[in-house]
Amino acid sequence: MSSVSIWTLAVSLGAVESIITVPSKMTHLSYPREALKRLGIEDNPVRLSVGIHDIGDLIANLEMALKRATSAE
Amino acid sequence: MIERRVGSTECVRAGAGPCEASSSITTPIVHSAPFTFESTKDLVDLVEGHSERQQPEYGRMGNPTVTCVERRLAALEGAEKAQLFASGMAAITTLFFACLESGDHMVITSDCYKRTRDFGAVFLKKFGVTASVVPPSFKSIEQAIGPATRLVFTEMPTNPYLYVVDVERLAELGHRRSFLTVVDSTFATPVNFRPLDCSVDLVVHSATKYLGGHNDLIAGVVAGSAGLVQPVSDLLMTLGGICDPTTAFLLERGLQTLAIRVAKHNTNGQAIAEFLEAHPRVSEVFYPGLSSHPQYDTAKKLMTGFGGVVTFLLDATFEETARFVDRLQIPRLAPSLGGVESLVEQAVIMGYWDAPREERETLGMKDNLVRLSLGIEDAEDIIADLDQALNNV
Repeated sequence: MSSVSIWTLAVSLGAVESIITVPSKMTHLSYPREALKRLGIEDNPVRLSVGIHDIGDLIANLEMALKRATSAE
Repeated sequence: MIERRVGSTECVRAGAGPCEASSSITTPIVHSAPFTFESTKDLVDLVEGHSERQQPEYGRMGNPTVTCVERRLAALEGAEKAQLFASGMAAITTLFFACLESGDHMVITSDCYKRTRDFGAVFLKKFGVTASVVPPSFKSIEQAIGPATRLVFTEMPTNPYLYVVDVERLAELGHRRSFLTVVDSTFATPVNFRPLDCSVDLVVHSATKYLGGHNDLIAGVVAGSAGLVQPVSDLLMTLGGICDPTTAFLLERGLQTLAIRVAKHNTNGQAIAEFLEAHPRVSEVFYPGLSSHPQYDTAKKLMTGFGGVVTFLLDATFEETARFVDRLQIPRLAPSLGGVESLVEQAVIMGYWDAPREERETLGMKDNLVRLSLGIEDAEDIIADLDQALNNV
């Protein structure tokens, strides 16, 4: 996640900023594990709230973060 | 017996402590006149430059909110340093005072905001600075340069006729002839043109206009190399025309949508300039994006868009022009420009009512001159409104 720089790690949506949320760790942190499973919110869903940055920059930044995440594995 | 429940000492100090605000997604508005120190040692470290802390001891020397927004402005202009001011005029006057001294000569282009031109060409005489006011072209400026010329100032494009001086050539000449090239880029914005990329020394804005963008704040900015901006900042600490933190916050909010807004101003400007040029009641249109513009080639070379201000002459008398302005429904009758709302003014009334006829004529402030500062409303609605007003002149 630290390689994601245009994207702000936060909750909320609909603003000029592009925001990335990991629901299981943030908005749904208080849910019991069973309930999360039922809702389909396990560890890996990521919610993007796309802001008004230029689309090329957003994609390039995501691509870089995805590459880093997979090469770290 | 209870001696005291809550006294003034409690009101002032109880529970007071540092505020954790660093994780805020927006820049916190910090309202503080003095800034405190944990100990005398911390203070001494700051004044001796050994401290990691950047925040000076007093708000006139700097403010955390204002500093954050200055960093954004520097990034947008490609500058090392940007300094915010209480207004565009605070920026320009502080800059002139910082860069000029008795015996210096400056060149100002004639088509210019009145108060800027008057400050440079009239007021500064008091301090032994002389000025030449010349037509807004590279050639006229070059001819006015003399051995004492220390500074050349032009707007980009100029107000209200939207002339575009080749400031790239001007900056190059400045570096050879040792004068500073200062460009007021309020009308261009860094979206359409970045003076520092052309080696211009200092860029100035009225941030009130496109940068703020919502007609709700007054601010100014000077940007350039740290070496040139620092003396201006130092003088500001004495002259005191500082930007307050709430204004800086509003400006930051506006800056985030600058590219989106300016793109719309550009398409509106072009569409409406073309509409006006084709209209039988309009005798002349001044817009850098029209091939009829005298400096169209320079504008094309330097700029990627031409903004939302369109200036034109009606085929009408003074009274008919006033009637046209009054008939408009979308543009509001007001000065200023660069906000989301469209504004319109009959320049001779708004800025030159008291000026003698001769001065008006020299400056081209004709009775039928209209400056339209387009907002971000839809072009077809503005065109329909202009059409009804023109057809009823």
